[in-house]
Amino acid sequence: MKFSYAKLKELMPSLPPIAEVADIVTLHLFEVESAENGMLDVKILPNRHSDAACYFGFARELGALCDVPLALPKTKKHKAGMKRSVPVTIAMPALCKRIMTCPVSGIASNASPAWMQDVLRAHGMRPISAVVDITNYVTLETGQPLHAFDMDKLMGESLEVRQAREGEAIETLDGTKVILSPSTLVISDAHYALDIAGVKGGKRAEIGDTTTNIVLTAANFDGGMIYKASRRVGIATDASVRFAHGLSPALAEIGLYRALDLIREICGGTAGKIEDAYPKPEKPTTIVFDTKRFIALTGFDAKESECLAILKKLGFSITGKKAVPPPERTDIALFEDLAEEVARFMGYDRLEAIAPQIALAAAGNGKEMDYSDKLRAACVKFGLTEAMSRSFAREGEIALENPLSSNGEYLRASLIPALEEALDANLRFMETVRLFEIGHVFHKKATHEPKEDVMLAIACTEKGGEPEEIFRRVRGMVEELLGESGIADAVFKEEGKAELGVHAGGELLGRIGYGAGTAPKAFAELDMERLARLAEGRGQFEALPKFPKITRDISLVVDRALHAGEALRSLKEARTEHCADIAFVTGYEGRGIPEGKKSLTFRLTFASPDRTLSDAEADVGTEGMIAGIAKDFPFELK
Amino acid sequence: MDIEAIRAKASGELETADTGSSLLAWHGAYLGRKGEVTMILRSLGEKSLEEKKRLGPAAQALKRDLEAGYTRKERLLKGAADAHQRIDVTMPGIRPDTGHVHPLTQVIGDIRRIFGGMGFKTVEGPELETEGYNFDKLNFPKNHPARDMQDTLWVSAPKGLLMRTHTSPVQARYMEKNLPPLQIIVPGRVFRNEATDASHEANFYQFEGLMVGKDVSLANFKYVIAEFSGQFFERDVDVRFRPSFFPFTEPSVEIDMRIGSGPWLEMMGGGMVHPNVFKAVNYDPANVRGFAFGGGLDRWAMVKYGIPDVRLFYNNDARFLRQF
Repeated sequence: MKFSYAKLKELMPSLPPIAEVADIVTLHLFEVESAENGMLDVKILPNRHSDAACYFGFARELGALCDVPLALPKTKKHKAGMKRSVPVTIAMPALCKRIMTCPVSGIASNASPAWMQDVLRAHGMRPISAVVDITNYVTLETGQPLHAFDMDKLMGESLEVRQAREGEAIETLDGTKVILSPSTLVISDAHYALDIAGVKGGKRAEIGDTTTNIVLTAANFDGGMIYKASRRVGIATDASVRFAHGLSPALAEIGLYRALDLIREICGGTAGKIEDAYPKPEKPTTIVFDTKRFIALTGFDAKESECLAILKKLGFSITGKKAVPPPERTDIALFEDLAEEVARFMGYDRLEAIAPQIALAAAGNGKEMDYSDKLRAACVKFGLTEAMSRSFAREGEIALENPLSSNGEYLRASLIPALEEALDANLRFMETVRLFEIGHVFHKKATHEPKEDVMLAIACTEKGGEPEEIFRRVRGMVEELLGESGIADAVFKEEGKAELGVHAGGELLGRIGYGAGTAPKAFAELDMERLARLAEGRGQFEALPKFPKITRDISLVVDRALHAGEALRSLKEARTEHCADIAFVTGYEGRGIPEGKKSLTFRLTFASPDRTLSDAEADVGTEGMIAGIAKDFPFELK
Repeated sequence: MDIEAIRAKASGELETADTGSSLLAWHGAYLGRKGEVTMILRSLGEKSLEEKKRLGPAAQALKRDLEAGYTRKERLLKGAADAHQRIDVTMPGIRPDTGHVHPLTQVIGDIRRIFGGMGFKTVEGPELETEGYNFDKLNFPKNHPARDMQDTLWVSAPKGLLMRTHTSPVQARYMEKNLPPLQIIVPGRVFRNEATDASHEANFYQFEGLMVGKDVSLANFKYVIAEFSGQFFERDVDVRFRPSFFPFTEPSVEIDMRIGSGPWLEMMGGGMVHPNVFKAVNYDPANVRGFAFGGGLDRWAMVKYGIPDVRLFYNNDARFLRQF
């Protein structure tokens, strides 16, 4: 909210210069957005709208903080000049805590004085007529929204605060038609809704050029109700914002009396009797200020007398150690609230930093985090660069109620689509792109309960690269990650044409796939939680071989359609004694190989833990395996 | 001649061959068209099957080893002659093609390391949260504009689920399962329904800290933050607290920092844990006290590395990522 420095200075003639005030406000009260052109723009904290979002309240704070005397205008005791009053009833006392009314007859329909118009303009408000300007001006001064109706336009002699009827229509001051529902309150005469309570005035009883008799009202509405009502009808006004923050019912009285004084002074007329519907007057809160507790909570070195003196300066009434907050303040309910008042007044700059005494507890991180650190380090070692994509996606299983844009209506169900886009985007600047990402994805379980998983994804591409090689590299990284996790029993299963499923321990750990485009791409995505579970406690030392190994290469000329993985699986099934490893070496088709065939070369390693094997043993083992795979697929030895 | 005898003789002679011409002669003698090894291999065809099996592999191995020995020696002789003519030592280095860790992960690492040194444990929580943990247990009143301060992204179904607007729900989750004294640090991704620009992102990172014990004060909070910020920026950092409001702390403070002689920057918010938050996790507010704080991780990274635009963190531009 903006405050005119000149107007503050009127209330506090010895107020220091604006820059100094800005510093004091920053360190002891609110954030200052700017202090220029004679206006101080401060961010009123959400819990201080009741008391400090107005000149009087803000000045009370400044007077105390700058230690300067404050002279607020004194309100005169109300004297009714006529018998007339406008009785008012509240149908929903939980949502409208208080409403006050006062009729004023025979007012002059003049404009407001220039000084008032200047203040309103400085606050971005348009002067309208003396009565309306006074209500707006008094809101600036006291923080209480006020509304005046043209008394001659009312049906009946009294007002009521009630729920709107289902479908009840009202035309607001700016001519908009709004259809209401019972969750919104209205101020109504005998027949018609006159305004949307706490949000916007209505056209029906609007103050006009010919208005001579008015009813001035000051009400208090429940913050939550106004917050919802304002959102529902799509209208936010200065009044609705104030009410939504929760105002003290005490303000109604302060605002009404101040406005009556100004109306008498500027518009003349005769005021009637005040009606005050206040079914459950609020009781003041009494809190004991415990200095020991204050010192323990904040660490300030403070004396009780100093603390109580500060509270007194801030308008609390103090009896012994008991403090009662000023009635406008709705934010003080607990001892901690008092402590904050004293602490901020003293200034946090005065607070010395003290090292805490820390109980010994295992610091460290969760298992999952340690494991993801380990896999991240491995990925970087592979030459992959870590990406972080946004969590929103064009496709997914869980939709957002209020998405930001059309390319983010869902929560991502996979990390791969965003990484694929990233590969393409980066190919504009480089030949090779290798990325990985660790992040959360979101699924819908069969029960429709959402499930959040942490995934690790790898995405690689290379302009002019060999698709199979890129795929094999990504697969190799997955194998290496599984190896680093001590998962030796992973099985890769072809799933569909473009995908390989990674299984271990009876679970699907992830998948490896490929894609095309301007350059061949390959992807992998692994479920970190499942990986971490399987990896737990693995990674045992394996004795180094004591005796030399013997290798034998065999080249099988097979049908071109046969997958290398199938041949490898057959060889593994036909594994003979002493065969310690079977590895794919290379595949070849072309010159020297018959049409429709290809050659696959595998290296068999033979070794024994307790002796040196002979060449003959290796040969026997090799022949045994060749014989063993004969039943699986046709081949010729090259 | 026995294969092993040939191997011994050849190895000995190779050792003494120290000119190009003597090396060439050695090659001819063993591996040339009429060399000893070549002859043995050629003669295998006439041998019996049993002998073939015995001699064949050994002869092949000898040939392989001698060829390798020749290549090695050749390179050695050549290298000695013209090494300093062939290598231009002023040529620029060829950098290894290494992977890179995302700058935000690096900052998370710094935070974990520094707070770890002060006895803080790092914990994480879900990104998809309940309204209960994100707001209710943190003392946000229902239907209050304080919830407006954090424009929330809601999930269509089931109702009541949202993308967490801050990392603070993890405070409640952790306290529900652990008793004080405790000190934790929580880095994580958070979400706001906010238009994106150079300083705003709809998804970004925060880090949350919480310390609870019998004797924890605001002065301790100041110490921990000053210590952390100094270590993080590796410079002199002035720390300033000023009044603020958060539903889950009382007193609440905004924390400004001045790095070196720079301007004051708003870096985080925090305060003493509100008694209602302790009540929500079944702690007795009369017996425990604690401080909690939260900062925008992206902002800390931007200040540390001088990054002008928050969107760079999420655009996956390898030219950016490779700088870190």
